Amino acid sequence: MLDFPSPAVLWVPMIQHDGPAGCMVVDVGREVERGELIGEAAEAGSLNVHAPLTGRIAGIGHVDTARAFDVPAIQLEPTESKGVDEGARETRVSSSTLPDELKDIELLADLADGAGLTDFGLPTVGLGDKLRRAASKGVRDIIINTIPAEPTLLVTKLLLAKYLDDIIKATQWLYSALDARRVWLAMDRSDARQVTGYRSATSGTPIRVVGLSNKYPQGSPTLLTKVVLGREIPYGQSPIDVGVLVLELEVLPALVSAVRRNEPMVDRIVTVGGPAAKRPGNYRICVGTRYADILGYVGLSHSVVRIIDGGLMKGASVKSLDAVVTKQTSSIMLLDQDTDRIPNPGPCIHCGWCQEDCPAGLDPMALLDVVERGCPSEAKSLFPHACIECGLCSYVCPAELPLTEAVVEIKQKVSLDV
Amino acid sequence: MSDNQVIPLPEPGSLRSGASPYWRGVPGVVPIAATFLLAASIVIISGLILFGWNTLRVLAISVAVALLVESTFSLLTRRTRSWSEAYALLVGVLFACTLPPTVNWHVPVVGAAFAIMLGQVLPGGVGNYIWHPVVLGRIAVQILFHDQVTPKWSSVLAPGHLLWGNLDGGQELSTLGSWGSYPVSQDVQTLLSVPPAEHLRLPIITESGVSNGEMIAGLVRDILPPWPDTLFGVVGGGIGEACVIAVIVAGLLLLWRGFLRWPMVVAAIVSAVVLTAMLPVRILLADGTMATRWFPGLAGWEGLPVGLVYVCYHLTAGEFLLVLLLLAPDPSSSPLTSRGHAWFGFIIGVVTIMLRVLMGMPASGYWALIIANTMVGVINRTTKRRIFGTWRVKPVY
Repeated sequence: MLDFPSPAVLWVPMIQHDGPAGCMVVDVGREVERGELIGEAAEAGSLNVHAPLTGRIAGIGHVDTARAFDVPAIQLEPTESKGVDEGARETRVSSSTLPDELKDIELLADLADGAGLTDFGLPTVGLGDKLRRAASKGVRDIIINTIPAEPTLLVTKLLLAKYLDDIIKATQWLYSALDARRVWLAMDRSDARQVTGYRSATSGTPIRVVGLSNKYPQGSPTLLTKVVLGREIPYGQSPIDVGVLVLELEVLPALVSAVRRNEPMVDRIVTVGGPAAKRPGNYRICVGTRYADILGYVGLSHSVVRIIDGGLMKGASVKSLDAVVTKQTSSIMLLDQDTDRIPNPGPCIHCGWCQEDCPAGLDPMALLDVVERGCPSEAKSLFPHACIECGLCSYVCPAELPLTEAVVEIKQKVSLDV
Repeated sequence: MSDNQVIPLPEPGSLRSGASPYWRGVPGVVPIAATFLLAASIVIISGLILFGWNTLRVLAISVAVALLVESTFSLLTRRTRSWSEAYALLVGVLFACTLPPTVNWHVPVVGAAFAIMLGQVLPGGVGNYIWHPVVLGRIAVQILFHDQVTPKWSSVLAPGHLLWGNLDGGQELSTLGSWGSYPVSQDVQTLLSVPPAEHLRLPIITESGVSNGEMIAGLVRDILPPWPDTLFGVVGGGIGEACVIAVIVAGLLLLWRGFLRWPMVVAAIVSAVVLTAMLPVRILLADGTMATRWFPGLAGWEGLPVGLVYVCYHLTAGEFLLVLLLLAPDPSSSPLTSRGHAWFGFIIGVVTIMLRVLMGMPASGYWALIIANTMVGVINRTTKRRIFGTWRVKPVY
């Protein structure tokens, strides 16, 4: 993991997940400590926001993020140079250690809420809400997903190598708090050494390591539930509805930090890459860092035409360099003129690859047809909500048709009626 | 580029926007045509070796006419698509593969023009046609110039004259030994023979008391050329039909690139094998009456499974494998799902063998593909995939 220096100014947005905004609780001119609460979850679904660095509140305004526009934000001028080095972080461990077992899911959920943790998924929701929902639905199986959500994301491998103890600890908390039957650790089987390492490290615990092929979109919660437990999620439902809680690996170290060290979620390990990045790598970047600062530090090897927040399959285009990183930013891809190929759609040649490769068995061609004819009501019988938005149909389409885009559009327009 | 050179940050407002995904795997439609062209060129090369420069003659006429008709139509309708010429080229090459090398110049002219005009351009181009243009053109010349495209005597270059020989005149082989071992003088550059597909579609001449095994053994021993000869293509036939090995190599290329899907191949070959083994062969008795004999594939003779050999001849004879491996996988005229491809292959196998064995039709593989193409709509409707998370409900289209 590479260091990222603290920028001169941070704009911390009040919305950093897919939900309503937090409520600002600080005034301009106040000095705040790193990790101090600056935005409070005011309504259901919103999340706490904390100061990423020690500094002074310099102003209040609006910023863009990759997935939202004109978000209320707090301008923070850091006074500390960021204590990024991991050694310094480790020494700040407070003595308040928790037992191996945590019987109360409410306590765990409250701690997650207090730290402003997200579930690191897409769409992003609060971890506390997700845990409470899982508890109320009587979830008995937990799947920890260590398979990268997208081919270009490399963070999980790093975390698996670095946070073995934290991962096992947090897993045991979840296991006892949810009174689970078993915890499944879904791992990429191509790294045999890591898999066997985890197998031996987790022997005697309720954790079962499952080696899976890392073939995109294996990391999708819907498919993991089917592959690991053989449970097919009925149309329009989520894994929790069939008694399975799928958590991203990144949740676990964050949860341990939150519970043990009272450290809120103020930064994230972000894979910065792409052909235009001069020094690609995994950086720990504070939320509220502007893309201009990131590009300035990482450096450019080619001129950038597109910045993607997230992976190449499911990410969002960043439209302005003044936009900022949020808790949703899993990676930043810098594309140059050659790699950012703008599709030039032609007529469908009926090759059938979109149908053949769709993990949900959809007919993207028919759904695109519905969009083009402008009658989304017809789409109901095509079950568009089975789409996991993996982007494979667009990926394989030789006519370069905007198939995934069409299905995503239909999903927004057509209500879910089974 | 030096390390010290500083690339400026992008200008405000210059960043591209747009929805995910940003990653595209298949760069357009042209590479598909290019892969098919590569596969077809393997077959063409085999034809070049077997039939000499006549292959190039047919190929050049066919390609030139295909491109001419396509570009004329693009010009007239002012609808230029960057890749329509690539597909016209492919149609031209594949159409040449289906013709015997000895045809007159007007056969590829009419056939290629028919294929492009009625097969590809008028239906609205690639993606909109129902029937494979090549097969449509081939069926047209089959009807118009029957004697030209299915001649009684089929030419192939004699041993020692491959590739450079002149495909003209030639010595007729009435009874076939192996192509390499047949005693002909060094001056003879061309051998004329009746291709196995012709023998297999016509009634077997035999006597009334003969058993199935003896009859098949007689056919294999006295009339048909040795089976390995049909693999190498030295028995003659169409430019692309003759050399089975080249067709299989081309098919493997398409299989590897994912255009040819294995369920289709398996379904077609299994159905063809089962049907040839079962369906009755027609026999012509010495007194002029016709009769039928069931289950020729199960026949044995002196402990030898001659029925099996008979089935093998049916697989490698004529256009069956060319149609199955090179023409049927065309993206536009084949079904959408793999399950659909299996049904598609099943239809090709069944119809080819039924038309050949029961009705004695020449070029039955092309007719079979036309029929299978026609069924694609029905196949697509009935082989929809089950949508994840739904049971016993079918999507409505």
